Amino acid sequence: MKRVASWALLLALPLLGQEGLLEGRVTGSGAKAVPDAVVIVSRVDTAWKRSILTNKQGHFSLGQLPPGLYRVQAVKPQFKPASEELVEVRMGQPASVTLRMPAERDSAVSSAEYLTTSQP
Amino acid sequence: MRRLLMVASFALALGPDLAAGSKVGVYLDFEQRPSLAAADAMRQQAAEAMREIGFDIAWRLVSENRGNEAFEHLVVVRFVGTCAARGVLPPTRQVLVLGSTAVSDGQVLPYSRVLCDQVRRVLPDVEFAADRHSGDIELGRVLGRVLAHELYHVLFGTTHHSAEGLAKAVQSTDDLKSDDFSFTTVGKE
Repeated sequence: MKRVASWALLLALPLLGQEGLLEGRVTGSGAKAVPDAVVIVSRVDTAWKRSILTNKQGHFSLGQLPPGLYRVQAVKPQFKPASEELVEVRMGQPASVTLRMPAERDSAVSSAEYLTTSQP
Repeated sequence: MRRLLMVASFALALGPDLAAGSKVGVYLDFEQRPSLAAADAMRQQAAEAMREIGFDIAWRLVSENRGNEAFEHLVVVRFVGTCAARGVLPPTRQVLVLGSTAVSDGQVLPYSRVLCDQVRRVLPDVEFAADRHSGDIELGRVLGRVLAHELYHVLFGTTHHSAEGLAKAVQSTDDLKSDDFSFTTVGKE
C-alpha cells in the first residue's frame, strides 16, 4: 500500500509546480488598507474567472492558478474601481499586485431596490 | 409549461460560461447577532431558490474571512437591523424597501443589503408570533427570499426585474410567506 502511495506521489510531482500563486493588496487613499473589497481575477485568453474578498489588512492570496496572463480588478461601494491589466502568473513563482482605489467623495453608488407591499 | 419556460429563460440568461451548479461564495455580515433559527431558515430558503436557477451557494462570514478563498462568484451581504422576531416593531401597510444591491455607473456591484427591521414591520403575525421560535423560522424564510432576490441582481448583473416570481420588483407579503414561491413561480392562468 505504501509503495502504491509513493508511486502516486512520484507521478504527481511534475504537476505540483505547474500552478501559480497571485498575492495582492488593495489600498485606498494614503495606502490605507481596504478590507472586504471584492477582487476579480480573470484570465485574459479564456472565460476563466474567480473572485476573492480582501481580509482586514486588505490582502488576498489566490493559489492554484494556471500560468498565464490575468486581469485583476477590485470593487467596493464608495470607492473608485481599480484594475491591473496583464498580470503574469508563472509556475512556482508568486505574482504580486497592488490595487489603489481612492474613496469617491461624490459617490455615484445607487441601488436596485426590492420593495414589498402588504396588498395581495 | 410556463414554469419550464421560465427555468429555460434563466438558463439562457446565464449563458454558456455559467454552467449549472456555478459556485457562489456568499459572505454574510450581520449588524446585530441574528436568531440562529432565523439565520438557518434564511440560508436554507435562499440556497433552495438559487439552486433552482443553477447556483450552488457556499456560506461564509465576513468576520471569518482570511482573504484566501476564491469562488466563481462572490457576494457580500450586509444584514441591517435585528434579524429576529422580537414582538416590538409596529406593523405597517406602507410599501417598504426590504433589500437593495449597490450599483455604480450602471454596473451592479457584488454588495447587497437586507433590511431585517423593515421585513419584520411588514410581517406583524411573524413579529408578534406567540411561539417565538416558529416566528423566527418564518422570518428567516422571508429573509431568505429577499436575499435570493438580491443575489439575482448580482449574479445576472442586472438592475432589471422580471414580470413574475422572486425576481419581480415588488412582492406581496402573501407571496413572500407562501409555501411555494420561487424564481419560476408564475401567476395563476
